[in-house]
Amino acid sequence: MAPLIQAQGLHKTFRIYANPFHRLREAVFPRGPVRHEKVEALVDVSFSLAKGETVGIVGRNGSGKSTLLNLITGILRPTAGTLAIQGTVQALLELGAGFDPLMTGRDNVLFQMRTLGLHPDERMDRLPRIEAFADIGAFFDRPVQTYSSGMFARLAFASAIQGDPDILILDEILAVGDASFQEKCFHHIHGMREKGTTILFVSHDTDQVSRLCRSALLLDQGRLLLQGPTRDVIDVYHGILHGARRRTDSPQGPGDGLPAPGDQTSATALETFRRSDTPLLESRSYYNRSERRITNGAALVTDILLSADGAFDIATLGGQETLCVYLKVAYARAIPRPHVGWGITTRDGVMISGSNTLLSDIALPPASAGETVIYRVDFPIRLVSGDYFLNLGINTSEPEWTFLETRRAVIHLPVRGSNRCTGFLDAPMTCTVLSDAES
Amino acid sequence: MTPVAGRAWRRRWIVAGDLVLALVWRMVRARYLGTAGGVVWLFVQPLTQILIYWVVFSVGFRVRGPSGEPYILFFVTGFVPWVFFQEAMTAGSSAVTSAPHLVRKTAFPTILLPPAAVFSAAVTHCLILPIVVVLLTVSGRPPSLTIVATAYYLGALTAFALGLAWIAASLQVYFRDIGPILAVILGAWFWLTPVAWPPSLLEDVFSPWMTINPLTYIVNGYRDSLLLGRWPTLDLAALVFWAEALAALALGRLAFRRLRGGFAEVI
Repeated sequence: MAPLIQAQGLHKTFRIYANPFHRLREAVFPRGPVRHEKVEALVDVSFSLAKGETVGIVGRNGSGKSTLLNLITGILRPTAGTLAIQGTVQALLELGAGFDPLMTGRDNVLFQMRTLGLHPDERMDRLPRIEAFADIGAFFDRPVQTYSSGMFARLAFASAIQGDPDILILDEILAVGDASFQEKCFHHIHGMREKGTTILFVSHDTDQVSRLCRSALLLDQGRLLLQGPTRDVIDVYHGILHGARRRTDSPQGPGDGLPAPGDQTSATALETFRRSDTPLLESRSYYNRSERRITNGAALVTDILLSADGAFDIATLGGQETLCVYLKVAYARAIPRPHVGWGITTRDGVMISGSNTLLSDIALPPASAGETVIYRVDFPIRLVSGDYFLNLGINTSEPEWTFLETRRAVIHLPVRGSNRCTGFLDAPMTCTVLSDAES
Repeated sequence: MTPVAGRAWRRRWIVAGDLVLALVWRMVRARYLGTAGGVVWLFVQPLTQILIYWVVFSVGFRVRGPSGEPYILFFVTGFVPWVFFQEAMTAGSSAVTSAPHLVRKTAFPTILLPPAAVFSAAVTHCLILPIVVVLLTVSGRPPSLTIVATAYYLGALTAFALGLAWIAASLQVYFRDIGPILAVILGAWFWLTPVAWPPSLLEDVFSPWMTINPLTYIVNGYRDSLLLGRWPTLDLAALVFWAEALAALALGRLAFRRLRGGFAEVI
């Protein structure tokens, strides 16, 4: 069967003009003097999508995702290359969906259906279904400008999916709306996928992408870097995001967190960490540049080293490892009762688990001013695939509980392992049938 | 655009017509149903202007119409098409820039926006025309059967205005100064057209201009069919007008098609 979307060497160049009049002059006199600077938004992008595929598109901001979607939707035209599309396209581009803020939700929906060229009977048939799905009550008959962003998203989504398009484009749309509506959307998208709708899904939420899509495209600086299974694409994407140069699978195997004797790399990594005067954390792939440091000046967590099941080279985690965290702490003042703490959070900052030496009843020796101490913290993880973050900090309990320094979300833990559970805790289940004899 | 089969082509026209109708309805409604006075404003504005001109020319300067009719009747029959033209140009020129949500977020056929604006001005015009008929009848000069020809002149003016609206609307996207420039042009154009003054007044001085100015043909035509009971004839003025109107349409469509590629990037 012919592919639904066939892109061949797509280029899109935006022309940046110092002044709109220059643009006009070039449009009227195409052979006149050149007055623009070129920005290459897409460079030689080729791919094809078959019917019924659900494909994620990932990439950093400005990587060309939106431009590509705009081309597929027909809002923009390619500068070069061909784009063949079979069937109808419905798009939800960011929060917009082409609604007129002054018109009511009902009128906007009707107008959109006209744009699609639907027969009046068909419009009247679909309208109540859209109203029911959006579920925004009386607001359906109020101007769209009075909507909250959640209501807007509901209406936009309802309107787009009820059109039964051959190709559905979703750009970050599921980022809004409350959890129950998101759930409803996901459910509906799954249904459409089963019916054979091709779905293009763009999101910064790699979790959502991996949940919905079996394959994905990775765009970077306007180029198509990779098209393949979602997991691989997302791994490479995380590499780009967090600055990793190469990807290694974390070795699986029994490990108590100790570097295996004779393991040259592990021993060297720890030794380098010990001796280095300059922090190396920022050069590590799991370092999260958007961490938040909360410091009161008495002590600093200057460097962090992480190993999983004894391996220091971490690109992704399987979710079942024992993590070993080395913290280098420089004390500016004497702290008689220091405590080390850690916490794992979700992307949204929800604490999944965390502890500290006080809660765990571990006594640490007093620290003197000017001293640098390396602490080693070990704890096991049991996590479902997803992106998690690690908070690390140093506290004191005297005279009262005080943060000396907390580094929130300092470590990014990309877990790419089990999908057998939903939520966060990987709790493998068993299920057996009790026979009558046994009961 | 690839050539499409006959049926698909016809379907496209039906969809386009349907969309234009929806847009027109929306514009008319947005304009008059959103305000407290509603439809009243539709009449108040032109009627006050008519009143002012009547006071100045008829009561003040004691001018009479060229064929001896009261000045007010002469003025109104020419002023009404002019108001339509002015509104069509104002709304038409901002048709694209005032619908950014359609240009940026959807693959909407933007070429339909200027016609929708022009047609919605025509709707207003058609609501005012009965008042003119009432005024003529009350003044003892009820329109004869030639009133039917008003439809022809309305269609002719719509065609000309649409061509200009396509040009103005596509230029406005890149060059927002089109709005004020257009206001200046329309202000001058009003006095260069025999709306407030009888054409006989300046016929000798301005004769070539009077023929070239497409609005002269329309304004005279409205007076002929509403006031003077004359049918349109195929004369030089008609030929010049249609040449200009068709040129405006062709040029407008060309300009729009050439410039629309950048709309989504600029708006």
